[in-house]
Amino acid sequence: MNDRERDIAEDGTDLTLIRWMLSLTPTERVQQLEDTVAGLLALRGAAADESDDDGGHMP
Amino acid sequence: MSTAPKFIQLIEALHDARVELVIVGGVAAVAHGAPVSTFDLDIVHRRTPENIERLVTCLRDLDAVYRGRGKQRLGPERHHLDGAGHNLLQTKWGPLDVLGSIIGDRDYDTLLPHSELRDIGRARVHVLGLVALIEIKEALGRDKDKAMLAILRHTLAEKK
Repeated sequence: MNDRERDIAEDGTDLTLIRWMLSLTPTERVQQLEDTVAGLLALRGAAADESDDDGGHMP
Repeated sequence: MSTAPKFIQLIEALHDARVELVIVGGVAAVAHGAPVSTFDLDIVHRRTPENIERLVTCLRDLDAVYRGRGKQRLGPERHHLDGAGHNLLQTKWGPLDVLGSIIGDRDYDTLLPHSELRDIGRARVHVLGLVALIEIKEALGRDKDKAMLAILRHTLAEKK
């Protein structure tokens, strides 16, 4: 079994992410979730702002 | 732009108010180490009069109102929380789903033996175990549940 086979399951799941999460405490895991969601919402907000800007240039 | 949820503060507020509950859903999966994302905290609460009273008071302090009601700001009352239904709320710390039971008749008393105590922030809370979470996702069978199942199963395997 090579490194890639050890790190990625047959169904495509990234096992390195799971191992990293398991190395954290429950509080750190939930904190990580909060950070991820904050990032996703910021991206969504930026995309919406960009869309609004584009709309402003429409004739 | 939406404000990012503060799950830890939400859990601490419920803990400080001595609300008896089991955390289920995505946050439970994350607490066990599964790398999944969710935008809300799902809890199943004990439906005794005393606990519902504590929960109502806590939800009031959290500025909880039902989501998706437009400008109407309807907060949960005791009679909303003493049944098996789902209360989808928005609080000052983010979305909170207060569930009387899940997949039919699995209520607090049924789920508690399948939960594990976890320290989250300064709260020690009951979190539904990975095996039970997997069984529930299998029973629900929705596309979003199927997507999470592989990650939950691999997380369980990596923990062994």
